[in-house]
Amino acid sequence: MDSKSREGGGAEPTRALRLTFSYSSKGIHLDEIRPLEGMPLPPTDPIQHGPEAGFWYELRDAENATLYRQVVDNPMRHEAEVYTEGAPIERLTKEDHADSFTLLAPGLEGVTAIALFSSPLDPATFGAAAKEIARFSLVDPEQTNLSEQKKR
Amino acid sequence: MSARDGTVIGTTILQDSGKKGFNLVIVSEGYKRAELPTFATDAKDFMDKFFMTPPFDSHQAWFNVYRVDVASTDSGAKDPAGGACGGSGANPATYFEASFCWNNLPRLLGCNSDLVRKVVNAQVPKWNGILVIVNTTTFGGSGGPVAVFSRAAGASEIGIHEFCHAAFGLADEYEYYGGCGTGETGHDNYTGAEPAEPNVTANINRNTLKWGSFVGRSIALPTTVNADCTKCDPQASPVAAGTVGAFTGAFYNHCGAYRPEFDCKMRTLSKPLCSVCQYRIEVKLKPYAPLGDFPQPKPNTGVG
Repeated sequence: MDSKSREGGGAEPTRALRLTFSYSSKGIHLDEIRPLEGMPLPPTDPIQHGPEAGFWYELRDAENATLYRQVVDNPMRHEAEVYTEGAPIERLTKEDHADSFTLLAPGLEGVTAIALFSSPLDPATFGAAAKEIARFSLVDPEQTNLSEQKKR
Repeated sequence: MSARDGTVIGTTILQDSGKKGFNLVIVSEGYKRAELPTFATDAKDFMDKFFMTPPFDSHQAWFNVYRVDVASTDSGAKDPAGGACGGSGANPATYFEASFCWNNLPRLLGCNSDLVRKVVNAQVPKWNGILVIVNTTTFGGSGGPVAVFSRAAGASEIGIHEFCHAAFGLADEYEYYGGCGTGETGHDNYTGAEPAEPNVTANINRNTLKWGSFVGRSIALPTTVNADCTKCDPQASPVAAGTVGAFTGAFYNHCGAYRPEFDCKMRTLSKPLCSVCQYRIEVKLKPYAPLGDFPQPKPNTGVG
């Protein structure tokens, strides 16, 4: 993977995008892109890395170089932490696997797409290395999931 | 949608650190209009608790804090009685539909997070983190993009734990899935890829450990070994609290995954955040710092 990262740079773009996604067993959809002027965002996580488990998103340019990467808690998990007073946290599997979530992306120059990476959502295999599960154009938001288009 | 079960009253700035700050939003759920002064007190109490929690205690000036008052028709949260839920049967009409047994999971307290986000998008468009306080004294909460917790004593720790997941990408550091005493299988040895999260690892090579710069030369790696990987490790910490090493048992597995300190809020709600988690938070908060108020750089390899 090519990289033009600003690793650890903590760049402070003056524009951010709040991206709202919905997901279900049918796939992931980018529902809304909301520009936010003057909103700083966290610095990128390391762009260069080996196989990793978890969930992150990457901002890519037209040459598919990664400009920004953010590791986040998997927003599509099939399980939830359940709390009981005075007892350790426990995890239980959810029945409903459809919901929505938002991600914040810095408005970096040259960004054309966002790619989402995730380990398998089945708790039994969650430690498998994450793979790209969806990609969306930020230039032409009318385009649907680019990863699915590629497969067709 | 239950927006008909109440009214969005408006937003109050509890702390204004300027345009650059990290915007934390505290939202009411299940408070009737006449109870909103109670919510104001609850939100302030949470804020005080939050800013007594390291590392947030040192960086209060990096945050803006907003309180969004939403009045509900009724008080409290739903508590379904049927099926596995076993609740009281309470069924108040509230704006965000807060309920125990959310997703049909007994004791899970959740609410309509889509609707919460819509309200906050309108009230505080540049929000970074959202916490919802539910007006019930029964202990509970949930996570995901919006942290939810009740006003029961100690439940604010759920809010902080879940906020650390959502805002800073921190992993859970406990070593089981359903519980240590459940006899669960499939959680004996972590054999997956290196976790992307900064506070758990499968790699304890001293030269490449992601939090290696935090580990003293005299600290053994691994720092603890679980003698029976079919169970949670019952041993007490062999080192002083706050010592960073690589402690066996994390990321829902008894062995094969390691955590930085013996305990941490990402493992036990009532404990402080470990120093590796604190450092991650500081790095991620850095762009929100006022000029000249930055954390001291640490030569870490992957925590930030």
